[in-house]
Amino acid sequence: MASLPRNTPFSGLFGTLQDRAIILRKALLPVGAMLLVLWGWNYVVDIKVFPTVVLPPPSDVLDVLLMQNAFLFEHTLQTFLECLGGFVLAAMFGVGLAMLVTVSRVAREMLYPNLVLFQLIPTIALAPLFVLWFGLGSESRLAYAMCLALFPIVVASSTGLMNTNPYFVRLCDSLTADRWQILFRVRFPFALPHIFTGLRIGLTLAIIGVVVGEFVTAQSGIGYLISYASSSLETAMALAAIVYLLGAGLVLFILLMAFEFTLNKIFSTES
Amino acid sequence: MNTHAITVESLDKLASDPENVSAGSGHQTGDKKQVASTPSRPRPTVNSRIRQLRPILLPVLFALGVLSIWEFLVWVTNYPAAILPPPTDILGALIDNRIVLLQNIPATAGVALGGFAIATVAGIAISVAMTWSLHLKEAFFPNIIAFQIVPKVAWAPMFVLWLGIGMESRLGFATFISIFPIIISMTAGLYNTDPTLLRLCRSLTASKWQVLVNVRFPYSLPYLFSAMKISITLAMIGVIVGEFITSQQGLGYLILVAAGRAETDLVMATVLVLCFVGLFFYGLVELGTWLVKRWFGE
Amino acid sequence: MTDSATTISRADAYVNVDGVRKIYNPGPKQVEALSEVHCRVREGEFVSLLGPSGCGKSTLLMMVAGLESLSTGHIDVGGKPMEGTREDIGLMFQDSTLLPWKTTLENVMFPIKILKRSDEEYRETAINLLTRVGLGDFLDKKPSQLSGGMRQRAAICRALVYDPSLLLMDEPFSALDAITRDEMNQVLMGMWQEFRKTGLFVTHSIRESVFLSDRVLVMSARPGRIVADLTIPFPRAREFSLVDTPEFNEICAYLRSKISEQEAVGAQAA
Repeated sequence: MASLPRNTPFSGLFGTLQDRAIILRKALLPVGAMLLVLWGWNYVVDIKVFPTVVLPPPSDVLDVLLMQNAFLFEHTLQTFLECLGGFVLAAMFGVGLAMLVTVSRVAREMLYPNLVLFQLIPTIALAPLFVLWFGLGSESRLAYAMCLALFPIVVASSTGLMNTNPYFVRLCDSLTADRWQILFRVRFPFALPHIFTGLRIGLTLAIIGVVVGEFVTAQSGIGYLISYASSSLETAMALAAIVYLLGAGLVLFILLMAFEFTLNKIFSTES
Repeated sequence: MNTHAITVESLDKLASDPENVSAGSGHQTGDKKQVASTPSRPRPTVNSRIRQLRPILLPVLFALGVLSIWEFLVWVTNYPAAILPPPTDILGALIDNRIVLLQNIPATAGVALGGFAIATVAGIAISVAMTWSLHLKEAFFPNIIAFQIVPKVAWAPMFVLWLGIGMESRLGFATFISIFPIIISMTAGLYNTDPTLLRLCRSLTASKWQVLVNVRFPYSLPYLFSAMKISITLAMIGVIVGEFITSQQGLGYLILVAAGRAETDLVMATVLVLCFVGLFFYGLVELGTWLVKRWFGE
Repeated sequence: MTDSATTISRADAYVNVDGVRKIYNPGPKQVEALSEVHCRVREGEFVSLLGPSGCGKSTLLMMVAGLESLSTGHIDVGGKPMEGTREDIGLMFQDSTLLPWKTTLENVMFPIKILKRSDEEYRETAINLLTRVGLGDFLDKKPSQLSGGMRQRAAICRALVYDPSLLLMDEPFSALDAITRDEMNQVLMGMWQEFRKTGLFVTHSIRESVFLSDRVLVMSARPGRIVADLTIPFPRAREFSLVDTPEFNEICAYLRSKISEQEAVGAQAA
């Protein structure tokens, strides 16, 4: 026999008891697991399995986060701006190149296979080369991050732009629209999901690029901080820097999401 | 009034012999038109041949063109080879330094392959554990996804702190960086098995283990192999970044040293070698993917 | 038309469905899928559940299979109450759900593997079954090399290989084109006539239900109830030409009217 539904005062909120049990489980378990890991971390430090240099207690990390927040913020800001700059450059050039390749058949046939081939180059390995070319300053990291992020953006965007539903393209053709009109009015809005997938990958790579660039140029920024702190055995500082990097990454992705949301709004109201 | 009884005989009269249908009017039986013989194929001209080969010719010609202009410009302007060596210099460096390059390939490729292998085995084990226990999955999977937000390369110095500057830290880091796509993809594959099939197994009173081994695991193989493609690339990246930091050996280290000495041609030659190593590994995974697809009968 | 619950006694019935209700999301937003379903199936009978989409006939079938829980009521099969899945029930779905990496023969032997019975004992049976449905030359082909109709034939063999006493089929031919579907009806009829399993067959094709079954149970739209129980008067060993006879079409017309009655009632209630 099934149990009859109980009408408690909070029945309306979150639905039935069963619904609430499910929500509780799905939210509590991951949070609980994280707390368990933190507790385990503390415990391992307490029973002194590793020297505190290798694994400092969570409280040490918290200390650094709170005490040194201005210092950490300064470095984070630089990294953040470099990531943003590199990404924006890659996005502009990447989408622009993708549009060119979509519109011009000659450009497409000449460039596209080469672009796909270029993805095979482990661009990460070129970090020292960029230092050679641009010096130790921001420019080299910007250029490096841009180069890393460029190719996935171009490939994803061109895939999206070229693979528009052919029926729409045919409709525009029959209305004697020219290639650029088709590009901007039809291909681009439909390609937005693909473009943003590429942009997300690009942003991830831009961040990686700046961090690795900072490892190699070793001047300032979060990457430098992590590298320097670990080599000076200031592990708590290194971990705190990673937390700040997490924060910067989150902000960047939220900005990208907001941008995506805005564009989707614009293009869906237009159609 | 024209009512016709619909009988088999009357229907037979209405049906026409398909071989007698000719364009337009209804001819009587026995009057078959001559089918036009197929015209002979036109001989391929030079123009049509070029058009067929265009997709290959154009990019190749373009690449060759760029390389030639590059070579020419550097020669004409006497541009410092330290900044932009001509393609011939790069080729020269490749040949001159082949021994050093060959010596350093195992250091990089071996560690990358090792990290990738450990990541695959451990990743599969963790995914299976999370499929076995739903609670484990609900506890840890969201955290694993959230953890992806931090760029893993940021942890590279920590691995040096923990495991020293030797091969172990690079191996550890390569494993760490390449295990996450495997866990995420494989868990998704194990969970996304066709629910109708699972229902069938349930109705046969199959045990959880039987379902896992006989149904879920094979179904998750395509997911696993697509993640392996990403993983091997990440393992290579991990090793290279590790070599930048630990500065001990390997192709990444070679790049660092060569760039420091402004031997740009060697830098590019090493990058070329890295390309080939990466391609080789990627090709291996593609081979595996192809074999799995064949086993699936696709 | 008689109500089966009164004319078949509990003792005679192989499958007993008594006062079964199914309610999803109990509480303020609950959905009643099935309301007070009663029916009985005798051993060796082939019964169709006919009804419009969403009337809950698949849910009822899953309950008889032990794969879905009951909100109220009682189901027993072969004298024992259904409390979970059982080894002696054969299942067929709209999707043949053959494992793509196994050959046809391996797929038919799959239940044997799961039930941990001996391979050698059942291998010959599997080959015989496959030959009877016309797949004798396709034993080592993979599902991707078979057509939709062939895959369902293999699915029939898989459902029969371990000799279940009850065969439950959930619209197995709905995804096939009309011509293949007619073929499959004849194949199933042939197999059933040979093996005489108790069969419960869910469909929304009137023609299919009349051709294949001893009895047709018509279900109302959601919440589902059995609104008609028609015994099909044609003798067994039916030929497919039966579907063109006036008697057959009369019965189809009768069932069609029953269904439209229900749709009218449903539309009024909505």
